[in-house]
Amino acid sequence: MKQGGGMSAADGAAFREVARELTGIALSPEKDYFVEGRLEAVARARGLSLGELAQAVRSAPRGALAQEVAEALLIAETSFFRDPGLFEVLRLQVLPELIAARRAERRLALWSAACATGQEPYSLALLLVEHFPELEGWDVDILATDLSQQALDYAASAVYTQHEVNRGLPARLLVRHFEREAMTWRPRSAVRRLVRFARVDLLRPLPPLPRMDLVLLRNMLIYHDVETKRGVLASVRGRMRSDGRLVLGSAETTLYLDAGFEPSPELGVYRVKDAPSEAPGGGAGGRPDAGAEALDRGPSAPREGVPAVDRGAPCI
Amino acid sequence: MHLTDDNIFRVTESVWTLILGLELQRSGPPEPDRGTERTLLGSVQIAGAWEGAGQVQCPASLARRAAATMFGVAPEAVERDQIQDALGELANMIVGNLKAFLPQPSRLSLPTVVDGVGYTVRIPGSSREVARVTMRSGGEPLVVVVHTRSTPHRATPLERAARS
Amino acid sequence: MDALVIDDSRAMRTILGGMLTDLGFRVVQATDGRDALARLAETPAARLALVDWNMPEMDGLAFIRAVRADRAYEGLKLVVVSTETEQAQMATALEAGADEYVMKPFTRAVIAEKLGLLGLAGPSA
Ligand SMILES: C[S@@+](CC[C@H](N)C(=O)[O-])C[C@H]1O[C@@H](n2cnc3c(N)ncnc32)[C@H](O)[C@@H]1O
Repeated sequence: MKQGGGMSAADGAAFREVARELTGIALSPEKDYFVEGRLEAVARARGLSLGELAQAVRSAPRGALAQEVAEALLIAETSFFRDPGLFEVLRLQVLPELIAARRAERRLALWSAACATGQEPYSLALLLVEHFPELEGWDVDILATDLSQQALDYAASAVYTQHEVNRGLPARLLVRHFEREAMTWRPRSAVRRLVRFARVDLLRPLPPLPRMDLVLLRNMLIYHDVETKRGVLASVRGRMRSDGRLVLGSAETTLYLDAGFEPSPELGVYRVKDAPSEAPGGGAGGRPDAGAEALDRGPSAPREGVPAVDRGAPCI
Repeated sequence: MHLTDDNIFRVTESVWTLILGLELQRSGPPEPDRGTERTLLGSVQIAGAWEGAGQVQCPASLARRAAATMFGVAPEAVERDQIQDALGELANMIVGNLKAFLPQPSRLSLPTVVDGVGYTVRIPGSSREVARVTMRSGGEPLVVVVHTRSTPHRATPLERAARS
Repeated sequence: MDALVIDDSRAMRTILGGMLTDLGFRVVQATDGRDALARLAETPAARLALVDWNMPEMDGLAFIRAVRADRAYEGLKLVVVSTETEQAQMATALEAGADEYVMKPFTRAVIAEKLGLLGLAGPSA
């Protein structure tokens, strides 16, 4: 007899248990409240209540529905400025270097390649708006992609709960660059307009993309085996400028996986070592792909175009 | 956006789950108080662009469980003043967050807590109940009530504009 | 590392104090701003204070102003932990010298992440 919201503690426990079984990642109960909306969407799509969904995953903990539940739970695991030390490195080292190197072109392409619910690309945007006023008038493009359409919809709406902005977001940035609507918070348009979203499965051939100066690929590889990691790293490298930088999650590394990257002195940041070999027009040149269209933001490219990549199975 | 039963439930639930880790559900009205059960009521006034009060009411047994989680001790070990303190702080958080759905700016009072059997509560000045939401946690009722103060003199829009 | 937890609610002091203790801090509790100034004088090495806004005697904002007016406490990080969540109020606290702001309710992760932003990941972290 449950109305509206409200996931019972027992149902929450069942969902977390399924996620742990499938992914080995233990989630804390305090997340329940925030994944509830996403789980409700999963349930609603099947005409189930949350209680019935919990029942279903309990009886088939390896089924497709359980997969979907696990995906919904893991998506939630992100926060603004996750790993603040890294964002300091970006602010003090990486971005100033890149900006200096692009002074003539006045163009900067950043990619959050597993952006989940958007906190990561908006953190980048906040960093630029707050600390790099010299980018005014530059062509700055933050592409944010993910496998999960659910996560991308959330990210594009940019409506965050109080708990989400409580986590990791400097209060000064919250006050200056967000608008409050009752209990939710939304980045102002000056921040939002720097970021565009598209669905990209990193395990499949990538659509045309701009040549990236900086790629954040954090906390996505950990869910995959070595071969898959190699493939993803190689194809991401194929979309990077020759002096581009790659950032991984704090528990991830390219070492022994992809000889084309070398660690830079800053922890968690990698440089491209070998010029990308696969894509045409790439390599040392550094002009954007000539033939790129879908996600390459040319003058006429749609800003919020979704690439024609067909949906693969959830890969978590 | 304004104060709806749904918003009241969500706010209460976020406090209940984040701070206490206890589950909370919407429910029908509680059985009428037989006037024998010890009940606690935490109250916080709101003053400013909106005037009124929010109250959080529950049986002493639920307040005891909540206090046990907050103080990190067994429910039997919780003392009476700890229970009152805990409910006051929960009321502060719930009413404080409800303020987000009401006209701003406004400020919160310190919480006050009434603890006893079969008491009645009067809000200073004449007031009107604008919302009452009944929930359940571990089978016990939790009620959140919001009153608005109907002041004898209602400010005209012009006066309000002049004030802010 | 010493830290102050300033809140008129004993339950809230216990929760915040427990979280900071787990992060490796030595915690001193105070019940309002005035009490906190006295404790602070006895704990000059404190690096962090978590401070509520609405308190009897001296509220959190007045405490922040008093601390920021005193050069002796320059290295003290001040984090407001409050149910007052109006943007204008947050701005006021930050202008007065608060370093961070946490909206109640919060979780352990919220506190840990805010301390991470202040470079106070915790002595044991
Ligand atoms: C834990 S989140 C990481 C979010 C953010 N990068 C961070 O570090 O906080 C992992 C994300 O990877 C996405 N993901 C998993 N497999 C993917 C794939 N094959 N292609 C693109 N994204 C994928 C998931 O949908 C999820 O949003």
